[in-house]
Amino acid sequence: MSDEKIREILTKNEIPDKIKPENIEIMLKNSKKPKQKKISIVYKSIATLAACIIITVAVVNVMPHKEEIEIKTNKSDSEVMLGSYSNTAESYDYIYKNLRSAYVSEKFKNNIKNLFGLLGTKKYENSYSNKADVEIAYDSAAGSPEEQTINGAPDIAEEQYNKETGTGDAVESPEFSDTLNQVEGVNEADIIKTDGKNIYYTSGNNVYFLNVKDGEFKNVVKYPLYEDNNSNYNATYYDSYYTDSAEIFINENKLTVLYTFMNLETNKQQTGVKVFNINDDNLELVNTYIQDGYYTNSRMINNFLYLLTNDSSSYIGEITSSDDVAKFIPSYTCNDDQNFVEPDDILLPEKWNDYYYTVSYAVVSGIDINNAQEPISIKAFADFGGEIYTSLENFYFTSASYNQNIETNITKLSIKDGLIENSATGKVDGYVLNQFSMDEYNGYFRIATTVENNSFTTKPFNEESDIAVRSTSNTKNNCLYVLDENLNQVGFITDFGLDESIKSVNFSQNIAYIVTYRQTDPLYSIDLTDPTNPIIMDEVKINGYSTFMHKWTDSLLLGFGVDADENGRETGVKVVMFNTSNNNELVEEALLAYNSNGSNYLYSIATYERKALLLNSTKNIIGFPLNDYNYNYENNEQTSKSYYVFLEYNNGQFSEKGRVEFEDGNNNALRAIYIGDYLYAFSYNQAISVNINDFSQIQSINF
Amino acid sequence: MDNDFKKDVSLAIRGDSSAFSRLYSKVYKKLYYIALCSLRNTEDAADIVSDTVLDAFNSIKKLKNEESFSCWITKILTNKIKKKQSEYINKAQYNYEDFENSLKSDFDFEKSELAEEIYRLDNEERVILSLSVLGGYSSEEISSFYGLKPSSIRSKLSRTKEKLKKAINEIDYASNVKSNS
Repeated sequence: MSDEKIREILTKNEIPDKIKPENIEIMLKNSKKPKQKKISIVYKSIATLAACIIITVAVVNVMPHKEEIEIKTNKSDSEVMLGSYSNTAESYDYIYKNLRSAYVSEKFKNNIKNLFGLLGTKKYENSYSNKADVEIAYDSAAGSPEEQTINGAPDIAEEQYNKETGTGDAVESPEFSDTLNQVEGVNEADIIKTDGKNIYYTSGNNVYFLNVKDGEFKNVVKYPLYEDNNSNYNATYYDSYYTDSAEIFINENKLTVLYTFMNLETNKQQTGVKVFNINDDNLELVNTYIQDGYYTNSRMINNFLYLLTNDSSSYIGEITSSDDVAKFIPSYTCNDDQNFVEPDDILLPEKWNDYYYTVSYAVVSGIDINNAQEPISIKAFADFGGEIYTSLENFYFTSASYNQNIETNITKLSIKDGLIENSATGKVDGYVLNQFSMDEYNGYFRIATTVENNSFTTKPFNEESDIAVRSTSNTKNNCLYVLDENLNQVGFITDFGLDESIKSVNFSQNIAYIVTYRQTDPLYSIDLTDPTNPIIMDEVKINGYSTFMHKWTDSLLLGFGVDADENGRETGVKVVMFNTSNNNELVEEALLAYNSNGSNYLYSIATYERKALLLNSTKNIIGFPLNDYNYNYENNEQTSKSYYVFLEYNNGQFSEKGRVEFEDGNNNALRAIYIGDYLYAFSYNQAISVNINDFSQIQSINF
Repeated sequence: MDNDFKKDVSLAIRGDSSAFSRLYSKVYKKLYYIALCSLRNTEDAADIVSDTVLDAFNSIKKLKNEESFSCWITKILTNKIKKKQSEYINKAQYNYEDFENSLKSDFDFEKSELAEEIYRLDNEERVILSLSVLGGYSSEEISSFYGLKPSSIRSKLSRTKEKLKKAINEIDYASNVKSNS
């Protein structure tokens, strides 16, 4: 099926006159001049954040070859899709030949299909000038300094102030919160971290070092991650949607920052790893490591960082010789030395999966951050990418492939002190929602998937007629697999949540809790004590669905997610507490929902980013961002409000303890943390501290 | 490099609406069709495009680098689409008839079936599909518009296409059955 055909269908409508350029010009002339957003400066030296995110652009590889990409081959049913990565490359030449042959055969198949008219014969008239856009878009030149001043972006001084601040005698460091990690001991990166004394925060292309004491921001230092004269635009509130551009780890006295940037010389996206020493009142850069591809995921176990990036090769048609190593082999740079991944560290699929005329690699490296000169090991998986799960000893990669139905290929790597080694491969039906759908316990790997089955029945309307009548049925089912250490299946259970898809999973040792959803939110408890024979113990149904579940206490399971009415219409955000003291009889103990009143729309970014949640049962805090978007149909006005809300749970009831409101409602609240008795809430450009007991505001700063 | 384009951006930054319109004329079809596919309502699609234009014109000062005009304005559009789609959920405004009818008014059986299948995709799938197919954006770019990771965009996109492809295969199969019988 071709994109071209889809395009043809979707561009059939006439464009309304109202939005034709000539009329738009009139509209603009009549519109009143824009009101400028005020820049609030709290600290003189911070000025405003003119943060710029380098837009992650990889157009060059893809767009100019549009015509050729448009036709994507149907894979014949007899084709076996990639399963394992037993296949390491012997040499760069071997990889090159593999790519070329895959490319040629795809192209050949396309041509054959075209000949038989299976993909339609009418050539799409390129009525809108994609191509022109591309050509324009890539002859780059940095904006002249003059233009930058017009842009009104004040130059930001990286200065320190309040230097004399006493940073505390560290009599006893107060308790503080940590990122919501999936596996104990396996740290996950986030945009914010604290060590109880300082807060480290990334926003835009900067890292902020905030020294805090008793709710006061004593010392704020900003570190830009890269020169921002290459970035595409200044920070706007739209950027706050894109929060995963940089993430950080802290580890003893080291701060590690991971970020994606565009290398303008090669036009490739790369991931930078900067390691800083944490000093009393500043950060000191000790090391920079660069790996090809954009940043996708990472874990840290002790002082070993496992970094996963996704790198795309050049367009295969442009690779004309196996000597063009830079065009199709991922590289990494330490101390300005560029190295290519060795052929025997590159794993090729048995069959190429998705073909977009470039090859993408998942590149995974193990790095000792105390000595980040060179990765301890690095491997690249061609044509691979998906969710990962990491236990203390193993890395599990998943990648979906399409045969009759969607299948998930699993590649298991053993990780030890930075050393990454292949260990096993396996395959299950269906697709994985996220990392929480996977778990390792007692040597068994458990994985929950949703299997989608589209089936059609088509029959002619009557004997003579050309018209056929078709009915579609889209059936869904869910599965839970138990695999042994070699990823062979030992146990399996299915047929729960028919026609519903998995929304969240929580594994608590021998019990799996699974939420599926279509209209109501059934929560299933599944007993995995006998790995060969999983048993469904109970299910409860409530409206809406949880997108994240967290063990609150031994007998309570907290769910955070989307609320909905009985017709399945999503209405807001909810928090729910299940009593799991008897897994044969799950009970919904408490529920608190924030629902829209009809004219507004309530949502939380935590429904898709669980790191935005602040959960701690000993402190009794349940915190999440909440956005309230209001649209007034009478005067066409829209207002947005942005909060971070804190709840507590007592005796079967949730109650709101307090909330923090950010100045700019268009900026999503992103995170909150606590240190001792103080809460610190962050949006893209503002930080607010409050007292944890009475929610009195202590200080607010703008970046 | 189109020098006029660069010039137009700096003119537009200074508030020149004709220059802005020239820039707009290069992208408006794509914007409209992305909005239409995502919202399935011709009026809303037109509204949202003009809304986007106003926002973009008012904030074009923030556009630092001329090259990215198309990406930048699409990002604004995408955010508006997301908000609009969420309004539908609350407001129960389901007036998609004109779009549906226009899709179905094709004599090509295969195409009208494909159209119906596209119509049936969910909100997110339609936005991502249209950004990719109509906008020509890469999954990295779409991820920066949409706030999902590039890998999720890629898998959602291929899942969507797989769905559509299946529908088509089924039709091929059905017409074979028919011609054999």
